[in-house]
Amino acid sequence: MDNMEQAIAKPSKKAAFVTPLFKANPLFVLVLGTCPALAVTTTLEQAIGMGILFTVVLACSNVIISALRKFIPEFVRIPSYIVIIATFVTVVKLLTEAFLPELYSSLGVFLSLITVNCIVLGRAEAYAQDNPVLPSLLDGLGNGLGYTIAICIIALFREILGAGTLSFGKTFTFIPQVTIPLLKGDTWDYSMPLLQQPTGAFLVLGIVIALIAVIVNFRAKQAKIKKTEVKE
Amino acid sequence: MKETVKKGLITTLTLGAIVLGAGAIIGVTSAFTSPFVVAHSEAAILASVKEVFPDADDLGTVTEFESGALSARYEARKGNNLLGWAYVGTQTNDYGEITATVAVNSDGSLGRVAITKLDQTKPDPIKEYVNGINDGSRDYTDTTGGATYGCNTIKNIIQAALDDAATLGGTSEELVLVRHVFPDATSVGDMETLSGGKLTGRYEVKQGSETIGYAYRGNASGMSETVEMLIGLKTDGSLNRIYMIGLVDGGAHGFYETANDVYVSGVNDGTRDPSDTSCGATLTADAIYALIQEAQANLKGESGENPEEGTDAGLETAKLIYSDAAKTETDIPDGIVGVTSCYKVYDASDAVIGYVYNATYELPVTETLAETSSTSEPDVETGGSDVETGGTETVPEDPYKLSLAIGINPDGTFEKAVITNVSSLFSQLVDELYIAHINETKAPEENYIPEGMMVSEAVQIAARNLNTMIYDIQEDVKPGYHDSLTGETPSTSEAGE
Repeated sequence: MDNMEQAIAKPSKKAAFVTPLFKANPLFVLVLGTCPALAVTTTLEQAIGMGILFTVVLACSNVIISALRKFIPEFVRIPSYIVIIATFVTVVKLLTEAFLPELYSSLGVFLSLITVNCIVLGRAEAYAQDNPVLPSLLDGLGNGLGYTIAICIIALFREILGAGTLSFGKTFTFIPQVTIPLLKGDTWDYSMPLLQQPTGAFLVLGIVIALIAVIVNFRAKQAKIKKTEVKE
Repeated sequence: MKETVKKGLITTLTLGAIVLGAGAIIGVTSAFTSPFVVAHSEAAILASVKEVFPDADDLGTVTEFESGALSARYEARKGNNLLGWAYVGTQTNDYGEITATVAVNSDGSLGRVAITKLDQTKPDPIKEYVNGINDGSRDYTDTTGGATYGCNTIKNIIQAALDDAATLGGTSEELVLVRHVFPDATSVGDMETLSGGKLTGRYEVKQGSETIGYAYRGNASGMSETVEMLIGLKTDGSLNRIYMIGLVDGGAHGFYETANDVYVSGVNDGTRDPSDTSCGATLTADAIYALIQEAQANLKGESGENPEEGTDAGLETAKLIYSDAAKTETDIPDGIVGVTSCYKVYDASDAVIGYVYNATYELPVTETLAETSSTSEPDVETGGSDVETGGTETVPEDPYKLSLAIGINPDGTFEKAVITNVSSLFSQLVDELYIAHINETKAPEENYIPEGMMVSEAVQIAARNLNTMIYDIQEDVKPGYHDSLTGETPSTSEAGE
């Protein structure tokens, strides 16, 4: 069973949480939700913020859709899901604007765009509408965290290589501001500003997806060899 | 049928219930978060107002706008001094919302701009645009860039702020303008329209309740352009400052820029006497100087001196040509190259006896000429009617420049010409070899060009150009005058060779 099939199938509670983290990662494996992954990954802090908010929306909407799955008529399924997702996005947006204004400003329009993120609607359709509340919650958390990990990896590459530094405290103002110079100092600069541009985001995403494909294929081959040896 | 209705009803109710629940959740959340959002928003706006007016110690008076691009105006003060106004404006474009704070200084000029909210997909070019405005490297109207829509949105907020500031009491457009010549002015009266000369209007300028001077508006015509000027005169008639409002007509050769950079700046910073018009754009400067004199004459008339008693600026000159002149009245010359002012001359019975045109002529010479012509007699290799120079050409100041007054009778006939500065050898030669002849024959239509051993090419060029000038003046006084004559008449292009 390949990763795609695993993602579509209905796994156990543990698998619902663990599988999307790596094996069926929504961004790197299923290549879903690429738009915000390219737009809001210029800094690690921004990516962490986006990932957390995304996870909250995904988990909450999964729970509610799962809880209401027996009451929502088939005919108005999609509109209902959209209303539920949009509600959580709005709530998250209002809370972020009130308590994390810098994060709210830095995410801009992409925070609202979570409403139409295909991962959220996809998990509602593919999992939450057919499963009980707890597995749906775990599925939402797993997919959210998997997405968060993915965008954080992209952001880490882009910030270090593109900006030459690693900064904290600019978006999450409740922590002290720290800037670690890695490829850029006062008198030296080995950063690649291209990676801070959308083009750079595409490059990084492509390279990471390629690396993951290489590792997965290598491991599959190894497993096949082992299986053959055991048979012999 | 019943089943279908029931199904539809359930569907509607379910969706309705979901929507109601969603609305309730959003409502409760909004009610909970709105005080925080408002507090944060106010803090951000206040911070941005502080950012655009860092010196302000009082931002107390706030005016809120009900509609339009602007939402609030803060009055920024330092002690009792009004620094300006900070406008907070919010506009939405296709990409999202932008909130910006715009500082307008008390003189109506644009100050700093700060972005408070930037919900745009391309924020960086917009930030660059604002940074450019703040460091003075970019005009706010230059919105072309990677995010033109966003920049235009901010431009709209800036424009709305500037427009509003211009309507405020104490910073009317007129006051903003007049402050160029009276920086301490606090109010100006309505413009009093002037006619009959190059001056078009006058403002009474006040500081508090005290009148500190008058600002005159008028047009000055140089060789290839007409500029609008503002002349600031103190109440005693002395010149305070002058300001070039802008180009009215022409300007292709850019002499007005030279006049502004050299002459106007020099007069304002006190390094140049207003009568010293040699600046690389001499004709324009001459016209500006004539405007200053006209403004001063106007103010003198206002202050009770009677121009009919021989104190008006033109009468003295007019008497050199028309001995029975009793009064002069400023007239408008029709853009004749070199002419700086014009007076209608009356005799004692109030009849018009002629017209006197004051003009400046400067021999067109190149750098080569300037180097080779330091001898006592001018020796010119080049000619042409391009008597005003700027940029690469170097013009010797006094040696090749002369001022003259030309008298033309109401019927267009030539009366007399008088050179008013015969200090240089050049002006003496022109006076003796050319002016003396035409005064004697009273027929400049003959286009007399001096000849002989003593005559230099410089005098011949001057004679040729002055022939053209007199021709144009005669046509100005009596249009079609030369057509009525049978003799040959020079054309402008001919004389300009």
